[in-house]
Amino acid sequence: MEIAELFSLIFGGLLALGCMILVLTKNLFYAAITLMMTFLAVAAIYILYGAEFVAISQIVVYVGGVLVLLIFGILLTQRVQGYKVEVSSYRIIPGALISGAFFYLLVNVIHNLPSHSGTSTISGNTIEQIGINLVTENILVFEAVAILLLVALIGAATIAKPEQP
Amino acid sequence: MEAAQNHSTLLIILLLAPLASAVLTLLLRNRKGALWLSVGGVIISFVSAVLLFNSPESSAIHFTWLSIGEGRTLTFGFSFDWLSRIIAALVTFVSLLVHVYSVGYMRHDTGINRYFAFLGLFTFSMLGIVLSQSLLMVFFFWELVGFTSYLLIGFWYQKASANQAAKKAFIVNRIGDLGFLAGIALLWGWLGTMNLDELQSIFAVAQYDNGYWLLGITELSNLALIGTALALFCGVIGKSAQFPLQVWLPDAMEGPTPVSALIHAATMVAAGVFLLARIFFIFPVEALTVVAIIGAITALIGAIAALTQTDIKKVLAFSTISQLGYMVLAMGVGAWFAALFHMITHAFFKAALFLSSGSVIHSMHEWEEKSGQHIDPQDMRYMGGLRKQMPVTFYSYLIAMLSLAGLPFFSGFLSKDAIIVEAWAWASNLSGAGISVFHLIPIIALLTAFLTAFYMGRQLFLVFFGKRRLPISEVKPIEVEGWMKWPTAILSLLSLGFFYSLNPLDGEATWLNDLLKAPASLVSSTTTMDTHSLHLIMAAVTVFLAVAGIAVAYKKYTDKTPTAADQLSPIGKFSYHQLYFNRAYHSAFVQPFTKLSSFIARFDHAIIDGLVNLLGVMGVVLSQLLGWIDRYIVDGIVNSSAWLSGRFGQVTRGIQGGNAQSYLLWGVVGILLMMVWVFQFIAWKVTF
Amino acid sequence: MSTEQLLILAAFVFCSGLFIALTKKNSIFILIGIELMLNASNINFVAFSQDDPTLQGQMAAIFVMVIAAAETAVALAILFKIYRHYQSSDLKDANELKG
Repeated sequence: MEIAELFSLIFGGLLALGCMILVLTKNLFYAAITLMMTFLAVAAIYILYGAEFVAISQIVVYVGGVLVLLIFGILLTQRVQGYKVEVSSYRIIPGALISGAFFYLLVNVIHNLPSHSGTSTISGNTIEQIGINLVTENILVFEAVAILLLVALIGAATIAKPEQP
Repeated sequence: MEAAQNHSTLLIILLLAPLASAVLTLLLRNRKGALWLSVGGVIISFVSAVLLFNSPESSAIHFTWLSIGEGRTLTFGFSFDWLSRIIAALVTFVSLLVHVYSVGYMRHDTGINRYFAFLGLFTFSMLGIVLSQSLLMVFFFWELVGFTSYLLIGFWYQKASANQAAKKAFIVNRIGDLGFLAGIALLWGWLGTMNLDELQSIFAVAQYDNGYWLLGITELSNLALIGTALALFCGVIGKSAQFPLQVWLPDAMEGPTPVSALIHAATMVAAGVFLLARIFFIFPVEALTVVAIIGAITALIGAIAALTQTDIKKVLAFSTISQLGYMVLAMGVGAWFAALFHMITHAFFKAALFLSSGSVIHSMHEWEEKSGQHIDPQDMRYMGGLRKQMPVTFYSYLIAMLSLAGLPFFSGFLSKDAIIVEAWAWASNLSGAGISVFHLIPIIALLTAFLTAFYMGRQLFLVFFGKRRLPISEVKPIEVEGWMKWPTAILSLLSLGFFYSLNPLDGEATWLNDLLKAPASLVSSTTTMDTHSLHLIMAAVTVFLAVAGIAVAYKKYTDKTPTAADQLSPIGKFSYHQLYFNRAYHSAFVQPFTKLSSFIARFDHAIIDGLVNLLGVMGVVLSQLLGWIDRYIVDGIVNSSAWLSGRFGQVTRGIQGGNAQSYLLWGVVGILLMMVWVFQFIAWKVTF
Repeated sequence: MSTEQLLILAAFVFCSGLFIALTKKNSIFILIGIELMLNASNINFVAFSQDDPTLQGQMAAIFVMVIAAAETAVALAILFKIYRHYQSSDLKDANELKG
């Protein structure tokens, strides 16, 4: 067994475990921490599958940005002091049924895919390729996304601003 | 042909102008507009009536209304003979003056639109009677006239007495109209026509043969004809307030005084006499005798009742009854023309008298309002000495009153004299050479003439002469305004004799005599008497009686207050209470009828109500049963279906819970289904 | 781990996120579920871009990530607003969409 295979199994297992914990936990804070773990596991899987830049972006954006935002959200909206930040679930059975059905369907689709080599053919400097892509082929998308981000940030600031008396 | 067309148009205008103005008046809410509209309508009508004098005798309107069975058609039409023309002109003229008078008299009344609308409707209906050629049509308008009379008597519907009087007039008229309708039906049944022209041509060739009348193709027993004629006469009795149905007319004085003048003196009550003139030709001699007797009785009792009345209008009402009796008497003795002549002259002077009395009442009423003292404005015991204050009214009244009393140079003398002469001639004719029971009728006529002069003189002296008997007050009664006094004056001027005849002593010399031709009668008139000498004698006698009546009245009443009703002598009471007719009718008809009614009411209460209640109880029991079924079975089904749909609604409502997550859930379900569909049927044929 | 196994893992992550988004009451938890689902799709993109020298799959993954970040920011802003309005971050309470 190659070392890469071993790592991929370990991080794949971590990812699956993180998802299980997220599904089962009732504590928001645990969930946030577990989410960080899953994000990191995903980033590791990206590296193992030849997407280093995506992995770095994952760590920067998700772990450094989204997760911090989420934790801020938790702290701002939940009354942490005095009692546990616990969240109950409802409609578990229909949710589970639907999710299960979805999973079953996806697995079936994946099994029916045309066979794939399974070996990575990309190699070398993916970051350079991505950089070239960003400013040539995908320049329009890049700029659109940039504007979207700007608009979203301004919008978020406007929405969250306290109401004028 | 074109001329005839024009005349037909004129006739329609004449008839419909008052109706149109009446309808518009009722729709219009403007008081002033209503006045001009209705007066304008009557003026148009009057002008048309005068223009119609030029129309050729033959022109008329006919149309077939319906045909029944074998050749029996009901034709309606309007006739143009001189009788119709003159009476139509008379009706519209008096109506016009009464309209003008009403402008003043009703000035402060709130219901003025209604009032003028009713007057217009009345004028229309009266013209309908005058112009109709079919008896059935006459009957229609006859009823309309009765109805408008009802409306106008009860015009002040707030007054209970006015309502009572209106009902009384209507019901009493119904009794007569029943006979009238029966008579029309009999005529239709026997002769197959109601058209007056056709009837006239049938009767023109009538032959008497041993108790039967040969009328063209049919023959009719004398008795049947008498019955038919008397049935038709019933209508006249009702409408013209003849004995024994005369009781409604005095009560009808509850209406506004101009209405009394127009309807209950000049025109409507004279419609009976007019009808009698129209159907005169079907009366055999026996029926005519009955007519004469009825007329004589009416004339006498009307005159007697007028003697002691204290209400100024009641005197005139009884006088009207008496004069109508005169006219009917004249018809009965075959004096067709004299009757109509008296009807025309009477229309003018009686309308003038009523309008004068209306002016007096109006003036008294105003005095009452100004002085603040309470009197009965119609009671003659409060009047007196009004000659100075109300000169125009006084002279109008004087002329009209002298005309009614029958003094020479006045129209009343001419017509009354003609009637008395003809009555005497008739009586002499029937009784041969000597004096017989038939002479009672002219004698009654003479007696009535005397009484007429007496009670009119009494009224004149009580109202206009002597001292003022009003309670002490600084306010004096004053003359009425021009709207009221000039129509009265015009009417009374038309009561002067020379308008009718240049010979002041001979009523038959009038120009009307040339125009009004009596129809061929079933009674053969072979007057053998020398009427000229009779004229002179009778004229002398009537003048003497009239002067004597006025003189007695002067002696008795000048400067005296008439005694109150409860202080009268028995004879006076007998007169004051209208010969106890109302009381007799009350105990003879009304009381038994109320007793019968209360018996029926008790029967109804005890037995019929019992049955009804039993039925009701059964119904309730049944309903309870049905109610139980309804509640527990039908409602159960309904409620359970409602509950089911409610539950279903609850279930489906959950989908639309407003919760974003449940929308997400259902969205995912949809995606799942789509995926299944795509994979299963479209794309790769995935095997699960 | 073969690509197929990786795809199945991604499917598991996605279904976990779906389950969380469907069943948790708290809105922040729901956001977590959505992030999970986005990550699962990113895993797929990366997996499919393994033998693609032009790296289109990785480009898509990067754009998804950026948009996810923007979405999170806006979503959290809205959450604050809702929290201030209803004094609750429980999405069940914010059910005024109800017809």
